[in-house]
Amino acid sequence: MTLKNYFDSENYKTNFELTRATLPGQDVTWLSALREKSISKFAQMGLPGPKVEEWKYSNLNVLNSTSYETTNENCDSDEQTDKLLDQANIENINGSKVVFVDGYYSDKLSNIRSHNGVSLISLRELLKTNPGNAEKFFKTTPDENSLRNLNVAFMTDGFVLDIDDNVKLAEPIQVVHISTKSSDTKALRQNNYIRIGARASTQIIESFIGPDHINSWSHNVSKVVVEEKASLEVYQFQLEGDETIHMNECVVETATDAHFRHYSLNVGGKLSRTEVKPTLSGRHGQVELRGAFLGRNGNSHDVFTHMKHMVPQCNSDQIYRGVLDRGGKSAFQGKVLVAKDAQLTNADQSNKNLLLDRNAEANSKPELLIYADDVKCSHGATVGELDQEALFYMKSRGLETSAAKALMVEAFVAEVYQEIELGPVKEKYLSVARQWLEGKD
Amino acid sequence: MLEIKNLHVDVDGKEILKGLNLNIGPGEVHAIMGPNGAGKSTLAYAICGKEGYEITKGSVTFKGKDFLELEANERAGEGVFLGFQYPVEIPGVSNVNFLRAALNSIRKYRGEDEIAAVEFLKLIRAKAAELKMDPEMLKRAVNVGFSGGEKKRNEMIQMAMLDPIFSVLDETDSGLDIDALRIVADGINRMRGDSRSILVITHYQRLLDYVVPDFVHVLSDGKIVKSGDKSLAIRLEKDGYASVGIDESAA
Amino acid sequence: MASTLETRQAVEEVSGDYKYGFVTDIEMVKAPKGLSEDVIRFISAKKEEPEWLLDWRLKAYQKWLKMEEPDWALLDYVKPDFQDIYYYAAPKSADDRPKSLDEVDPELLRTYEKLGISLQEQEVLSGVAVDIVFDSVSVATTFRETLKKKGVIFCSISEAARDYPEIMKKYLGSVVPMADNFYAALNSAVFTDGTFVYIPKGVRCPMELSTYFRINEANTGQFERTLIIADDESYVSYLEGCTAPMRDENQLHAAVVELVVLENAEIKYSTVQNWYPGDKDGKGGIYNFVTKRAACRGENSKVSWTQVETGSAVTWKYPSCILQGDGSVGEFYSVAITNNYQQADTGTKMIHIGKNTSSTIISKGISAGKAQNVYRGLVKVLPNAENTRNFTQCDSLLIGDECGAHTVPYIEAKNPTAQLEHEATTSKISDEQLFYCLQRGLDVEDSVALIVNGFCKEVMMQLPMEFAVEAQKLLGISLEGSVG
Repeated sequence: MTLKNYFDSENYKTNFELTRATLPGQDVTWLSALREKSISKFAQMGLPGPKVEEWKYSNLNVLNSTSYETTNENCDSDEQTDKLLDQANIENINGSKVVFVDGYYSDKLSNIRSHNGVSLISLRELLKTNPGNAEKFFKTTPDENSLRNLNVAFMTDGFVLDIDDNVKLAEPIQVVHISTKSSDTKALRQNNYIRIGARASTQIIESFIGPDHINSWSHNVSKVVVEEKASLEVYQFQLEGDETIHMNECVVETATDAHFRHYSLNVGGKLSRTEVKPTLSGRHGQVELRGAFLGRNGNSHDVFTHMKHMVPQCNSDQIYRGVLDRGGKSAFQGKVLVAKDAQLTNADQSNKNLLLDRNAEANSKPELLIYADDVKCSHGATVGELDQEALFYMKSRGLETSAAKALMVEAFVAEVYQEIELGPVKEKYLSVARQWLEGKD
Repeated sequence: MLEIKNLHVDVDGKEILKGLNLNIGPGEVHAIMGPNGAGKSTLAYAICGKEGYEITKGSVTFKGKDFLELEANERAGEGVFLGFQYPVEIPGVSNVNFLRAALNSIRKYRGEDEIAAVEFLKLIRAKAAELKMDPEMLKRAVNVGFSGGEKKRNEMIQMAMLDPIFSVLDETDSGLDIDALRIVADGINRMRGDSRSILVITHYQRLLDYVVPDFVHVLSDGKIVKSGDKSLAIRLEKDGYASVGIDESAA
Repeated sequence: MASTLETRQAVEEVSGDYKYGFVTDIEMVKAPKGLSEDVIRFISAKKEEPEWLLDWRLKAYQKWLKMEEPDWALLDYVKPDFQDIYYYAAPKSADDRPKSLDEVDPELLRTYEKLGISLQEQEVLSGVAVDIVFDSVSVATTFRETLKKKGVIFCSISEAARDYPEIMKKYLGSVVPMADNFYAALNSAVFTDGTFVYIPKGVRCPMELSTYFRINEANTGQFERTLIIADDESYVSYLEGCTAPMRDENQLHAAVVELVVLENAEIKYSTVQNWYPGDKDGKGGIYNFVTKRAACRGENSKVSWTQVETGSAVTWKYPSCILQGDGSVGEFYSVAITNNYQQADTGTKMIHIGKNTSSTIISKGISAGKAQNVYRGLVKVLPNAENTRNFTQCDSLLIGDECGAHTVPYIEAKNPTAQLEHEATTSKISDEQLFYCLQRGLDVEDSVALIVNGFCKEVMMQLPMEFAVEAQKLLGISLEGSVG
């Protein structure tokens, strides 16, 4: 049985029965019980179909032809992983580095530097050494999110970052998720937990990378807590191969005076789904979401944000840009909720999309749900082609059409990343975007 | 005409006016000066009945009536006009419609008939001409997209149309160049008369060169600390508030 | 403008309580309660309909039986019991149709007088032809002669089924298919009456056509159906306005409006809806579930929807444009006011199919009391729609901190030459604005009405003169008691 408009996914239950004994923490009682409950709940619900509003533009039928069994641990680093790591590399960033290969933490490729007041450990390691400590990251009963339940049932690893109060990390933490050829037809499921203590601050750079022609399902769920006066910046690069299914859900809670900033860039995958769901639960919280998605040749990018203003006097701001070339498709679904009594909220949202080809599609659904009156909320969304006037202007100055177009698209995308203070990261965003543009045939 | 006795006013739980006394007789022009934060705008709002200005003690009587019993629009009906320091924008509502609605509301309050449309238009055109205001501005939405000077001039035309017997002008001179200042002053002077009174609130003396007050009061820390004639304003301008014993930086 | 004056006076008499809350005492002829094939046959027989129309209804009924009531809108209400509704009720005198106003039931005429609509007045003074639907059956049609000379057909839809079967067959259900949605299917099965308009080629309809709807008998769902066809190079402006008497039980209204616009033709469709919204505690009020859609079939055809929605307990309504003809234009101007416990989920769909098509959406939502107000709109550009343009502006105004204002736009583009722009803002009536108005002598209610009218100006300007004054007053009346 599945919910109305959800489709059947019995095979995951069968999968679960077959693999449960090999999943990490199988001897940890609370975890076994949680996995059990999660898979049951998932089986009851099923996978959301396009008639489920939040999945209107993401056709999960692509999941049906493959069984997506759980990946096996692949400890060997080889030429392939080295090359991918190299691609994901950002020059002049020297902090801790956490590398996952096919959904498992790789000690060999990682480099975790110890720092006072900072605990950074893989979920699997934590389950071995201190399973009781990991329990608090999870709800004891599965919730109404079917994909999150699926993730919890099968999760193989993840990272747990806990930063004590007042600790300000100077160097950003890098996390690289690699999917190798061995992950073909398999699913990588990781669950991460991040807590930034009061008045602490850090930056996390997270890359997802893999080769073309690999039909793997990379599925990440992160829970983030930003405590009072703390600050967290997350920079994501989604650079997976053309056949990959990418799903990344980031659930955030901010406390009083907390600051959360999330950047993303999606350029790969058959279907990429980036979900950012901040809940502003302390006054004077500030959240900024920025992202771009570039799609062609069967890329389908789906960005889903849900900003919840639960208390007064918080600010949120979202800027998303989409560029869709031949065979590219995108959907931006941005929901802003202002709860009753969340007065003096400022919430802005902007989504602009460029269509570069006849065979491209952009969808936008910026949504405002407002239950308080003394608020300033606005959103804007546009879809269009490049400004023909500007194009002509540049051509009249001697630029070739393709060069003029590339310049304009680059500027369009660059707007998203202009405020980034971390130079190498900003440069990486721009260079990835440039490469994508140059890859245009 | 207006009698204020021992007025105490709280805003957001903080006492701003702390026992203010003021008597304004018919035909008189009074000026209130004072440093920023002295409570000048609070006095204007309290007289006109803005919400959030809580009278904790004292009385305001207008033509023998207890003014504090009346709603803001009823006070307007009694003939009180407030020229705003920052005139408010009302998108989509034209000046003409706004003024007609206001004028008719006041007439209704006084038990008079509505003004006929033709008569109204004649009147407003005449007033606009007197104040050298472009008639096109009357068609535009109230204060929307107006420059600072245009907004103040718009206040003057509203004052002229509503024909109050007592006007409170809250920093009407702020942000005006000399030409606009002359026009505004002219508008105010037109309102002078034996049965009409004016209270000019200002930070600077320069408006008072054009609108010569009968009395000048200095407001500091919620009380009138000094009163005098025109010469007091000149002294303040020349020697600063310190000359009358006010530490402006502390206000 | 005597009629305008009269309307204004009528509206001015309103002082807070719903003015039109009285019940006319006319004996009704009813079909048995509930819905079945027999009831549909009864309706069809009462209307002396041709066989094909009965078949059409029965087919729709069969489809409806398999459908589910939609639940995607942001609306929370007790679903109607469709077996507890009378699907047909007609004034007795309808069996003997009046030829002129003199023959109209005086009781009916008195009702209209109470509503501030005097037929004679309108006929003589305002130049508006009125086709009145009183509990489903049209009882008086005026100005038919004038229109006839121009070749304009303006009659009830049952008459059209009998007299103009070819046009009816061709266009009925061609814009809103019988099983388009749950309520449209229900309407297709049981529609009792409504208006039919045909404007022949090259004719500019010499007057604004207007229909006043009115729901009367308790538990009588009203299922009007309107079909307007503007042939090549023609123009018509159509006004729709409604009031309903006060009732405790929720009454269902599920209308269907189909507009067909051919080459270079234009239809302007204006609605003022002020049905009973329920009382201050959310008791009673009309359920207004309407399907309105226009097909711009011809090149350079144009449709303009203007709506002022102030009434009903629950509104579910999305007047849409299918822009099929190259160069066709769709417009949607909307003011939706919800107060107390009212809920509205309303907006539009602009489907761009033809080349060089353009659309404009201006939506003003005002929410007060404990009401919820949703703008929901779709702008869709299909792959072959070259050079399409859309501009959408959605503004919400909140009055008080217990209401909600929501904006749910969908933008879907499959052609790179499209230029689509959507903007939305949310604001409230500021204390400063309110005090400014009060200081100039306006009382609280007048101030709110003035500010709200200013907020809605771009939409109100689109209304024909006949409606503008009434509609302006309505905005204020609808929001009485919402501030201070």
